[in-house]
Amino acid sequence: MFQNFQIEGDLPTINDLNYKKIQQNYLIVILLNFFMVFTICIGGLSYALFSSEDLFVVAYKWSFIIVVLLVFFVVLIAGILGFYKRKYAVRERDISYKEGVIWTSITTVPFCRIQHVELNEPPFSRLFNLATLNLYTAGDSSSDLKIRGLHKKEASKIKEFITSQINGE
Amino acid sequence: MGNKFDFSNFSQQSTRGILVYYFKILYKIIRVTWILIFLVLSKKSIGSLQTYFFMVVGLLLVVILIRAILLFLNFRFKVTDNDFVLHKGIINKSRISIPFDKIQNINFKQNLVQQIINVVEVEIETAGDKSVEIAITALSREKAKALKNLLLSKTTKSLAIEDEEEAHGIIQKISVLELLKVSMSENHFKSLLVLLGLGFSLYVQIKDFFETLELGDQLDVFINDNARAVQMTVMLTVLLVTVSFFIAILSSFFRIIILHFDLTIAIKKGVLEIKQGLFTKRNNIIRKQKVQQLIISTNPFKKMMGISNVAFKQAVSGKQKKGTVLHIVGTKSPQIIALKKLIFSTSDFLDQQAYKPHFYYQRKMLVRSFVLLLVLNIIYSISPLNGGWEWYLCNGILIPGIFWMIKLKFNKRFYKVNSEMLWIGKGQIGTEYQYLECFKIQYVILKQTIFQKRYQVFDLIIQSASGSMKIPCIPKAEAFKLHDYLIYKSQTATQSWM
Repeated sequence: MFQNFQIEGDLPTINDLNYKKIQQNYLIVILLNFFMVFTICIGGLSYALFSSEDLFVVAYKWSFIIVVLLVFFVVLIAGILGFYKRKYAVRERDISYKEGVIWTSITTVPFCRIQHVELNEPPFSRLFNLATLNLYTAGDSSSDLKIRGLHKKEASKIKEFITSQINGE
Repeated sequence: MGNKFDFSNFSQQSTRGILVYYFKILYKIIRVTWILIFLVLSKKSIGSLQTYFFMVVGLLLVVILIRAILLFLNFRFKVTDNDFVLHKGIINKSRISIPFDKIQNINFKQNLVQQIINVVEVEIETAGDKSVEIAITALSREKAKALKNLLLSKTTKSLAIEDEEEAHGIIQKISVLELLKVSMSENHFKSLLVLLGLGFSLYVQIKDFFETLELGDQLDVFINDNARAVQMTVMLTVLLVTVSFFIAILSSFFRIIILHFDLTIAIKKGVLEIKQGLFTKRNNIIRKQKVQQLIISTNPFKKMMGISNVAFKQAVSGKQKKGTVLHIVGTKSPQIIALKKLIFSTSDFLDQQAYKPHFYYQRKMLVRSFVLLLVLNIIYSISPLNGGWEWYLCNGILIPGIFWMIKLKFNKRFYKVNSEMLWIGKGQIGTEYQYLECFKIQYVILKQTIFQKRYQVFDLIIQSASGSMKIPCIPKAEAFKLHDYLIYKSQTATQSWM
């Protein structure tokens, strides 16, 4: 298709890349995070609703709770489905990450553009020996690529690989 | 260039700088409290309260003056063999040292006060993760130039700028008449929106103040009464639209004049220098290494006059988010060619094919617009503002209008790739061209929604250090090939992206 600037041989492509799933245990972390947020919200909300004397609130409090429960349910399903879609692949010169259910995205970050790499262990992840890899490129001050639910050893191996590739060149 | 300035020892700013500090602080305070001041001044009763108020104001002015003097006394800088050193701060003393290599740009600025007392503000932009922007608020123009030349001569990047008096190398100088023409061709709706935004924030400020005085209800009643009194007949709507249009044109004019007065573009030793501004005179240097994207925008009016707006998007470094896009207006075709030649190594796309989006792009926009139209119709039918069934006839104009606008948008969308660069075209009534050199790409994202999956199309998002560019709805094979190509170019780049 791009005939005007044919390069010698074929370009490396991500089309047939073998993506690796993130750790199974991370699903539990997702559920734990969800239920923590859920209990806090429902707890606070119930307290506010049941202790209120506003006529409108008293009349509709159950329908209000049902709506909120529905919303949380949808979020939970989305979270679980989304988990199975998260995959990553490390090549010689870049790292690729796939995620998303309704909006799927494949983000490819070349190593030569990575400014620095961070390995984080959020509290629930730490219980299962999991870690999050944060990659930063230029331009944004927030993380440009976040891969959660990696096994700690795997994550530090990838981090070292990336660092050695950046320093080597 | 005489050596009358010795920067190797600590020196201070021009003494007149105290005035500049003073007015800067004063301006900040007035911007927040103007409503309070206005209301107190307009109250004719309670004389003693007013005198008390004036006493407080007087005291405040004295305090500001003391602060301005202290800020001035505590501001010292010097240039050593290795770096630029700055000591500043009254209570929070900070010592900043910037190695010469980290200096990216040195810009001059002059706001109204600085122009009157004839000093210049020097801005030093630095690179790196923890980037700082140093501003020396008041130096005489001579001293500022001497400092700039000294710092630039010390950086390892060859950036020596000669004296500003050199007239050759100026490729554009704009007169007020040309600015007038530019403002006529602007997107007036943008100015109108800005006005509305300002008006709204004004309304919020006033409303907040009334609430604190417990007059909030009165304000609402006042507004409601007047709103009901106005019968929204067709004629009145037309009148309203015309009036808004004139206000929009006027605000476009003021915005252009204030931002771009006396716009001068000069190219000296391969570096672009842009001067513009009425109340705040800015002098910016643009280096091709720092420019990430070039955006050229035009519309039918501008095309008639042969001018375009150009925006230089530079790298965002660290915490610094604002001031990274530089806009110029009224640029003519030969000037654009000169600018492109300066910034890009090759911007020739003549032999390249223009790739259009998949027809799904049109379908997506059509579906969205009609859903929106349906929702609007529903809202209108149940709304209390319902003015009768005649308004449904608007749909007769809106529907073909939507088709036409979407067709325009689709036709303007394309992208071209050559061996070094990416060129994206978009727009509807106006046209916008975005240029990016491939080696400046930071990373690439392929996105697909569930609906797009059926048609096997992807959106491609290209992230650079100055923001992202999007190519929507490309068929899968083409999307992946483009993705692979851009990643390849980014990885095999021999030049530094900044």
